[in-house]
Amino acid sequence: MNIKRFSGITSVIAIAIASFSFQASSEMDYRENYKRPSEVPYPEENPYSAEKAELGKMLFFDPRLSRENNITCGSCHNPSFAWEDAQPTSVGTPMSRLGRHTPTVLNLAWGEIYFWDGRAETLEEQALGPIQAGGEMAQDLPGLLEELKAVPGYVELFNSIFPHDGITAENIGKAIATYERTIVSAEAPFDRWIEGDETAISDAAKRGFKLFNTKARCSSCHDGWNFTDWGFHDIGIGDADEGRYEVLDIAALKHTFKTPGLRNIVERAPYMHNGGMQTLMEVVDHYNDGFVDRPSLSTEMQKLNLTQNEKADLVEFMKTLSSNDPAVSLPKLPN
Amino acid sequence: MTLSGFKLCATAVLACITFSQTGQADDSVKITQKGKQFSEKKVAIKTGQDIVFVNDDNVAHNVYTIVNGKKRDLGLQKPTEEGSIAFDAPGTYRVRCAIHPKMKLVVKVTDGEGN
Repeated sequence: MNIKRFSGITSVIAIAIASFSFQASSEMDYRENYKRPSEVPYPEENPYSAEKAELGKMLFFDPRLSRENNITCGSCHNPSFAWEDAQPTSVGTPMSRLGRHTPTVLNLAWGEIYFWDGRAETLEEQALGPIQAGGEMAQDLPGLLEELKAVPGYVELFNSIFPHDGITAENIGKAIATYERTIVSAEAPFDRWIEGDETAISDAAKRGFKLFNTKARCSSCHDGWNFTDWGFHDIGIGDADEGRYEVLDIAALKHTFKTPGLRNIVERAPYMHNGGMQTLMEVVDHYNDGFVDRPSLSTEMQKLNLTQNEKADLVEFMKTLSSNDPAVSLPKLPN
Repeated sequence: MTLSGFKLCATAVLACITFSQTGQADDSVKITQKGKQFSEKKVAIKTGQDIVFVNDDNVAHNVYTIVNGKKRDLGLQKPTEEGSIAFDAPGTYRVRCAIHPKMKLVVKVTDGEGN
C-alpha cells in the first residue's frame, strides 16, 4: 500500500467517523428535546393541594354537574379510553352529536390555551365550559351552585378548601382544574429509551422516531415530551370547520386546530378534530399526501413521499408512547 | 430580461435594501423568534419606537397584538421574514404568536422625549 492510498483510506474513514458522530450527535440533540419533566406545574393563582385535587375528582365524576344529572366530565373524558371516548364525536345532553372529537385530558398541566379552538385562556375557565354548554352538560351555573349547596358533604369540603368563599363557580373550576393537572401519562417504553435503555423500543420504532424528526416533519408541531407545540395549524382536513379562526380572526388561523399531544395515542382512536380517521396508518397517509391544499394550509404541511416501510416505522414509533397507565378508581360522592 | 431591465431591477432592490436598513438603523428594537420563543419575555420602549420581529426559526409564525383596541397583525411570517409594529401610545401590550400561543412578549411603552 503506498502512502497516497493509505491517506485516501484514512480520509474516507475520517469522513465516515465524522459523519457517524454528526448523525449520533444530531440524534442525541433531538432526543434531548423529549425528556419527561420531573414536576407537574401548577399556577400561582391555583396552587396544588391533595384535598383540592380530590374534590376536583369528585366533581369530575359527579353526574349532578349536568342538567339532567345523567352525564359527567368523565362520560366523554373517559379514563378507560385514555380520557377520550372512542367515538368520532361525543353525545351531549339532548342526545345529539357534538361537532368535534373529545380531546384527551392527559397532560393538560402543561397546556397554554384550551379546547380545540383555544377559546379558554385557562384550565379553570375551560373546566366550566362543557358544564354550561347547551349541547354538552347544559347545566346553568346558578342552578348548579344551588344544587351543590344542598349537599352538606360538598358544603363542608368547599368551606374547608376555599374558606374565603366556599361553593362558587370559580372554585368549582379551580378544583376540577387541579384534579385535571394531576392526570399525567406515566412512563412509556419511549421514555425508557430516551433515558438510555436501548432495548426499550424496537429498531423499527427507532427508525420511526428519526423519520418523525426529519423526513416526515412531524416534530414541526408535535414536539417536546408531550409531542405538541400547543399551537394551531391547518393540516388540510377537508371539512368546513374554521376552528381557531372563529375565535380569533387572523387569516393564518382559518381551519386551524390545536396540535394534540401524542401520548397514549394508540388508545385514543379515532383521530383528528372531527374523529374522522380510525387508524394511525390513515393519519400517516393523510400527512404523506392526503391533505387538502388551500390558502390556510400550514406551511409545515408538505408532501412527504414516504415508503410503506417508512409509514409502518412511524406507526411503530407512536406505539411506544403508550404508558399502560394504572386504572382510575371512582370517588365516593356526598349525598 | 434586457441589461437595462436588469439594472433597473438591481437599482430597485438596492433601494429597497437601503430603505429597509435605514428603517432599522433608527431606534427600532429587534425581537427574534427562534425555537418557538421570542428572544425576550419583556421589553420596554418609548412611544413612537417600532419593534421589528424577525423570524429566525425553521417554522412560520404570526405575531399580533392589540394596540388602542385595534388588532395589529403581522400576518404569516415564514422563516427569515420580518415585520414591525409601531407602538404609538403608552401602555402595556401583550404580543403573541397566533400560531404558537406559548410565544408571549409583554411590551411596556412609556412616553418618549418630546411627547
